[in-house]
Amino acid sequence: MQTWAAFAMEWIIVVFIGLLALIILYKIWLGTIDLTGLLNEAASGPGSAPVGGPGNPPAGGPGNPPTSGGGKASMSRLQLLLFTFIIAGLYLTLCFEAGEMIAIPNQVLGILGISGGSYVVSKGIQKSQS
Amino acid sequence: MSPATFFEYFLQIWLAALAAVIAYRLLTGGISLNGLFSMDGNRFSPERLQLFIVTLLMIVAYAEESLRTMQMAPISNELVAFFAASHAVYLGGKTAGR
Repeated sequence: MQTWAAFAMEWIIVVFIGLLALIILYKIWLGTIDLTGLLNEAASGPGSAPVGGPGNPPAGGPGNPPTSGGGKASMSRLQLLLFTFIIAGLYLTLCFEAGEMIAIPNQVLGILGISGGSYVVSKGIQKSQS
Repeated sequence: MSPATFFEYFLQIWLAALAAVIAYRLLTGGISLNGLFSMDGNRFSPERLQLFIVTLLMIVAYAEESLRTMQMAPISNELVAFFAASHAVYLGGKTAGR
């Protein structure tokens, strides 16, 4: 039997995490949390392409703040982003359907490890080349 | 409604909203994708294109399999090796300065 204290604590935790998540989303939407360089590598040398240009016009206003920063988009960052959303989304959905924490196969952790490791190695290569 | 049920719906909606904001920014240029398939912003890089295609195929296949069986589907060791090889090609090209 759940006590009132436990029930209240459960709501407090849920509301706190929920508010935190909403604030983060709101600030991302406003541009206060800057995501313009989310997929960008650091600019490396004179040959690197600037952000912006004909294929990527600067924008403004809430929900679409102006682009800034340097460097080009990174494939390993994009891959990590896609994997994170897909694995997290699938895991959440399947856990809620099953009503319990389900097991993650080792191979899935393996491909996440390969993806993360590749990102780290590519950063090392980039650093050594610049 | 119990806190767990509320949180269950909230988390799914929040994750979807975050994905939507990022997708919107990607589409409108708020998050730059310039030079995604190039080495230095100018030269086309086939190893990046192959990694992108392999990633997309893997994601679609895995999501489809997991949702069909309603569990985190296991991936064959051969597929993991294929994925690692794709990354090796990408990193090899990057090391070679392509």
